[in-house]
Amino acid sequence: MSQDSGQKKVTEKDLKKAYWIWTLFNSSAFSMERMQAPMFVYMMSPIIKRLYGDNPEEIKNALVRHMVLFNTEPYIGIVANGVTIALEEQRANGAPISDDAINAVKTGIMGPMAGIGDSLNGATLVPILLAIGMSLSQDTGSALGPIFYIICYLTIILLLSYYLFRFGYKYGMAATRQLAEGGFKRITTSFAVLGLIVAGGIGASITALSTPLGYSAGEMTISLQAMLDGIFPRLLPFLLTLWLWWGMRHRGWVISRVLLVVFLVILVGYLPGFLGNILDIPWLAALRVF
Amino acid sequence: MTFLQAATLSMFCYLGALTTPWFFGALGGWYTLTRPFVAGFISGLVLGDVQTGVLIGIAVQALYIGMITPGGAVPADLSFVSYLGIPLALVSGASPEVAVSLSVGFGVIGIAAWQVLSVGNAGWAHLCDRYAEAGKLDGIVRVNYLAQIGTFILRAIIPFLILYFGSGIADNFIGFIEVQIPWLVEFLGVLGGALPAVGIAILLFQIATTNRMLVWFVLGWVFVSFLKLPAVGIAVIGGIIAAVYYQFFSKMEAEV
Repeated sequence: MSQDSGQKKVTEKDLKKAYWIWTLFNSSAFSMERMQAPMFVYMMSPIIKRLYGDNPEEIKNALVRHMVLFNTEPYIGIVANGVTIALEEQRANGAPISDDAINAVKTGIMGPMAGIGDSLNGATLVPILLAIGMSLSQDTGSALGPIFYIICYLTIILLLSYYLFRFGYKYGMAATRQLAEGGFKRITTSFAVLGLIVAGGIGASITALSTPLGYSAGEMTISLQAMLDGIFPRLLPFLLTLWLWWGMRHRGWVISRVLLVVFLVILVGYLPGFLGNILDIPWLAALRVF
Repeated sequence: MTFLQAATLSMFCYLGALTTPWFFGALGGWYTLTRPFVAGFISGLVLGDVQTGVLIGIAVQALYIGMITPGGAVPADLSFVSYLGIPLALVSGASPEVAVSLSVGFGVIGIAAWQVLSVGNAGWAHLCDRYAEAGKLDGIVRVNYLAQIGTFILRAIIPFLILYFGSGIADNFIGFIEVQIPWLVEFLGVLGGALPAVGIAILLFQIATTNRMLVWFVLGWVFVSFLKLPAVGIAVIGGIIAAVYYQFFSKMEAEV
């Protein structure tokens, strides 16, 4: 117990090591059955060695304790890893923290953080940076866009995930829960607003759907597409996108179903000539050889 | 495609896999090298036509822009999309629309490959359980490296074989379609233009949890369709609106 002379303390070097192990290896032996558990143990290895290095029994317990299923979005959810390290440290110094308590904290954070992480990283940061990068290369096919994406994405996400890891370790469970429920929710909702605006912008610039239908009477030709463009440019892809969203949100369509729907709609629309393609999208026009 | 080109591309396929640690883990791999936009650039570099590579990358990326991997469940396998679909389209001289369709096909095939790996990897977890019971920390650490065997077979060896031996077949196949079945190419053109709507709808589905939030999506759409703003401008305006939202509206919502 805690009558040991010195307090056991995780060093700065241990934390950095754990951070880099997790950043690199978080999915290296990913399996549907135990998900990220073996990698979580690897991440904990410098910590376990520091805290329980002289006690084989405690090492064994720690390994068994952390081999339970773990799964979160690895780079935002990393806050759970920080909290776990802080708890292990308190436990090693004699605080009455049971195995169940540690695992309850891990599962309590990893769930909500997985949702927040997916929406912040995969559904907001990545698409926004991709959209900006794609716009830099859209007309010319220049290398500037991909290089912009690689540098910006890695810089932002590495700094953010390191900050969250240290936040979890420093402030622990209560603050993290507050972050997940209160403050973070406000941040993610605001990011969602940004993400939606950018998604709308990308959508309008990369989707193409138009109709070649028209009506000719002597000299005069009326194009249905020109009329639609006069009312609401890019109306057809807009309606298609919203319809697919509605199907997923309110009818529970899975992605393969969505792909099938689009395929059938285009096929049924194309064969009798209701749908065509007017080449006003740079990437479509630039490379078209037919 | 030469031996060296196929080997280089399959190395990138491996480095970019979700389960490969060597290039900043999934950050540098899955979220960077394996984004079709970046893969188009790299395929272009390796195959000697960066411009076409980037343009094909943009076309394919459009479809998969909203792709995230919740709980390891992949709706399409981006590794095969990016490093089989794109390079094969590039060496065949296919148009971006045909490249999109080809990539969708590889994306579907790849899901099966990923499922084999993520189920098979359970064996490593069981080995870790045995090491844990014996208190062998080093054993568990070693498994983190050994598990790369499966990933390497799936993401380097198999792609190499497909790229090296398949590029001639893909070239002939696509050439045959373009000459013999022109209506199919035109149909794929229309389909390739509409498919990005799937990517956008998925993105919308991920972000818009309530119907009310759709107004922001419509606003972004209008910025481009009516006002023709470039992406950087939209990101800046969107950032300002998000900051205002953070300061006022979400506070009001929190207080209710």
